[in-house]
Amino acid sequence: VSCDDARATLIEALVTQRAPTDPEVLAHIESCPACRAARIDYDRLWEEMGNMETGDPSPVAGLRFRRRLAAERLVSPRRTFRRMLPASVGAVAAAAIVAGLIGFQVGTRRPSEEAGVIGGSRNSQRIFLLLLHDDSTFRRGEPPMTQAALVAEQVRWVNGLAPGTYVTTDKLARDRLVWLGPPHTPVAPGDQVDGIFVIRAKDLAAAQQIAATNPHLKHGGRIEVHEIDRLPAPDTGNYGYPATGTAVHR
Amino acid sequence: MPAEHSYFVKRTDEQLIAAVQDGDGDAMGTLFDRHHRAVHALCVRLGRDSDLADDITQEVFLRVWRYARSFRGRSAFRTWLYRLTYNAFADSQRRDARRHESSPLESVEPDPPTEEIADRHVVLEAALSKLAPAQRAVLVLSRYHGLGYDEIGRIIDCSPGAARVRLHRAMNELRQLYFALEGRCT
Repeated sequence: VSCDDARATLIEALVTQRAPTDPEVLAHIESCPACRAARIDYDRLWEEMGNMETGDPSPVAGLRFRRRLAAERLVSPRRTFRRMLPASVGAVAAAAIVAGLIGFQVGTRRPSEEAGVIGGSRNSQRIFLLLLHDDSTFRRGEPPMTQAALVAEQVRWVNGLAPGTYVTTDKLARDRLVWLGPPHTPVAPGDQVDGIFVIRAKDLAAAQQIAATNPHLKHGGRIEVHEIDRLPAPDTGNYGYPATGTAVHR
Repeated sequence: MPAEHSYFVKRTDEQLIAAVQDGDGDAMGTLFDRHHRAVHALCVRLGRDSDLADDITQEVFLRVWRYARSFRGRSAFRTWLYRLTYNAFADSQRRDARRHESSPLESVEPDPPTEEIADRHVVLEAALSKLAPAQRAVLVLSRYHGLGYDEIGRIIDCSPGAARVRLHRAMNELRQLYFALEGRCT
């Protein structure tokens, strides 16, 4: 056993937290003053490394990250969304009304060359929020329609948008809704927002035109179109002000 | 605490990253809450002050979001996360090096003052800072994060055997540096 072998064994003992057992190594260490000194040094270094403090991360790290993530999602949204239905979705039968907004299976295909393309171009950098409302009149008098058919309608709509128009969509959970402030007076009985889209468009009028083609309207739903300010560069501490324009479609 | 939050906390890292791959921002937030302290600590131990470690931590988790789809599950999520951390740390060091090249006067790092060296932790930190980044990384990942050579190799992009050799060399170099610095101040 050489000194190098013995010291390698000593280091491995620290890493694995198991004392060396090889009798030859132990005999070497016992008889070699340099290796005995090395053992003492290794043990001391290992222990002192364990005592080094790192301090805590910033207490606002989580908030800061969520803001940056929100900005990131606006600037470079996911190009595809898989279906994300919670296992318990069957229990929420009412959510099927605008189930088209629940986890759209939006393809990556962007048929820019196809006829009937709606919307602006990738250079359209203004961002708009579409709030899809419905109330007690939604789909009244219409023949029954399956949830899958509603989803397919919305998927077709998204796939028909011009490249760069679609940003993202999300469901809004009906069973996790809380109001704060004065009592809410809905626009119509039962009025609620079931889902959102975020799109890019040249201006509010263009966004309104795009929203007007959404199939939600033909079922009697209402779409609220907001222009939203882009988030400024992260870490400036200034997150701007909300909408600069609003239009309601019916 | 929102209901969704407690729901996500119960999920494994691999389930959460799968949700992130589908564009789930809540799952991303949960991963951040779960791991940002460890990433921050790793950055500090690799040689960054706490403020810079905060910045790198943010960058690491944004990379998790951007590159989530490149996670194939061939290693544990933690290993992949530490690899992103190590790479982000190395990028930050390269940026520093370029900055110092452009202003050479700032690149001269003065030796720690003698009175500070009396503090053993300062001595240890000074000795660690003189190790090559990969050597320091293997020590930190082994000593503080309890990783084996397989995982360390994946993180710093070398074989497990090479990781083992680097760790042994790092310990021997650290020993020399530490006791040289300590001897100088006594």
